[in-house]
Amino acid sequence: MLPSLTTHWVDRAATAFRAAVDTWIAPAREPSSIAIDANGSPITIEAATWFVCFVPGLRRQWWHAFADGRHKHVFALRPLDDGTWLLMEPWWTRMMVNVLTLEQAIKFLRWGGMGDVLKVRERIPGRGSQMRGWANCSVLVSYMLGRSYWTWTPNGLYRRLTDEPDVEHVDVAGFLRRHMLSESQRHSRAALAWMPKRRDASLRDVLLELGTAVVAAMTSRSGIGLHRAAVTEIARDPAVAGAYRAAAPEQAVEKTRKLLAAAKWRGEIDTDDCALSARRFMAMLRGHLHMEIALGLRESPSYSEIRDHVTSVVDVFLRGVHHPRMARVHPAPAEPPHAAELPAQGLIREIGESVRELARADDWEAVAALAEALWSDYVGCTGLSWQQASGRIRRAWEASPAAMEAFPGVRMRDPLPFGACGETSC
Amino acid sequence: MFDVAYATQGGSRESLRGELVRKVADVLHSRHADNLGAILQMAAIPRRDVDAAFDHDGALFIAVVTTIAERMLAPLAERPTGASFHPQLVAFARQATEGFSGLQLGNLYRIAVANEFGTHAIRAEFYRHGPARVRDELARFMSFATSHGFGPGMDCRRAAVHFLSLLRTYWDLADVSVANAHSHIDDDLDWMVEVFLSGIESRADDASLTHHALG
Repeated sequence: MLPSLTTHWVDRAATAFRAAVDTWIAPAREPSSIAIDANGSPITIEAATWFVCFVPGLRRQWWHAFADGRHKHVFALRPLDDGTWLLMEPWWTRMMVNVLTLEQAIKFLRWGGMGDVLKVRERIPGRGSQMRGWANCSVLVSYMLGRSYWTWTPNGLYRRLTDEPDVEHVDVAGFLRRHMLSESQRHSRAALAWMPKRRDASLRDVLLELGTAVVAAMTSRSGIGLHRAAVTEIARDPAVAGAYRAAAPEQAVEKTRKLLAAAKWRGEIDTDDCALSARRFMAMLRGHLHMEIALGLRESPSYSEIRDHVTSVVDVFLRGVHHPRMARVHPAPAEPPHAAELPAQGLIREIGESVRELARADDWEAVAALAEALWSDYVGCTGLSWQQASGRIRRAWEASPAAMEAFPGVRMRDPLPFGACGETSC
Repeated sequence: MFDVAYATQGGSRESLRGELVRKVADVLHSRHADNLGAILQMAAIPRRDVDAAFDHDGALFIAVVTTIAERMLAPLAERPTGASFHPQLVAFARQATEGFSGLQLGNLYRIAVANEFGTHAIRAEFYRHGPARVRDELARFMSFATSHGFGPGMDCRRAAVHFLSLLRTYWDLADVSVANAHSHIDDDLDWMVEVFLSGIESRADDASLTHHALG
């Protein structure tokens, strides 16, 4: 009995010992199932470029006495793909790592503009060290960038970084204008990419689709972020707000104007001023919804909510611009043009004689704009590619040398080059 | 304590509020009135007066937007009749368009959007006393007209939003250049109201709207 009990305990002890040795010498089971890259990381990430901001203090701190006049503090931020920004700001009491809206990021960049901003590419795996010691803002930003500089002050880090060949100084005001423009263009392209695909699509259907896309974009997080950034920047730098307006709302107005101009040309609606009607349509799309979201009073609407709102807007709008009572007296048609070959004549023949009711035959600008409106917006319906459409406008223009003589010194509208149409995928 | 302090000066909190609101409303017409600090400086209002008259900065702006909303709504004060409905709407449109074409309302809303006066609750109050109130009063006006057989043939709250949106055609918080540009104000508001009223009519031939093929 005793020997068997002894054997049992010895066996159990041996098993436990072997298990302990296995655990010690063998890699852990779970991590071994995860693939790692050359740096021992489960994923490989491209080195990002940061805006490193060396700034004066916003509030007096005891250590400011020991720091450079302009460089009391340092933090870093960089744009993310979805229009938001990532901030890394060492505080005395914590590390602030947050995703910011564009509007919030601009506040930090403006603070950066009070000092100096450098564009610095981080290094992976880098040469920093956790054994570096006292972790003030300079040391932590240097560590985040993968640098091993022995410096404890923002200005010291600034001088080290500016010695690097590929580090750039950033003009904050210029950068913000360019950034606002590119972000607004990206946003606008995504919203206005939709084109009517069906030949039998009604104007109502077209406006419903366009309106839904526009409202979804303008009430999205990124759309509201752009709007708020433009509104808050308007006093400091109107050009930032101007870049937003030109690239986002004005594009939507122009797209609508073209749709309405074409519908008017076909006799589907009756409106004197397609540009004004387009603006009214956009204002109705904004409604109170946009203001409520911009004020932070509600979340972005659901698709069905957007659709419901847009349907109501389109119906009211179309009844308004279509109502027979609303027909106003059109300006008297212009006198028939002189027999001399005018630049718009060829184009009028192409897009139809009834266009004379909308534009004077010698008004090349107006006729070319109508041709653009008709052809660029209905490529899906007419079968014309944008190349074909703009090619026809160009040929009509080039085939009228007499017109150049008839209007010496007047520069005729040069059609957009092939591929310049930003609205189609061509 | 406050009341005593002002009562001894022959004033009251109400009168001080009224005076501050009037001064701030005037200063808001300026292009540079884009934050509270600038507004107080331009209006020569001591900070302590604001603290004494209002519980918080937001309350000052709420009082201003309330005043503007009341002015805008004045033409709708009388209950409409079949004959007065259209002229009252035109008068309201004129008041509203004037408000939207200047800098005053734009500056006020820009300050609100920029979170200058604080919390969500204050912004909600601002909205409730400003745009929401104008919308609701206009909807009530239309609803009364509908109940007497001459109003819109659709949901009045929605119709009110559409009408106000039309009046804000050129109102853009991200653009101060169009403010005060009176050339943009519809010179034919009467006609615009007609367009709107025809837009909100329920018509038997609504279905025809879907049959205007583009091709």
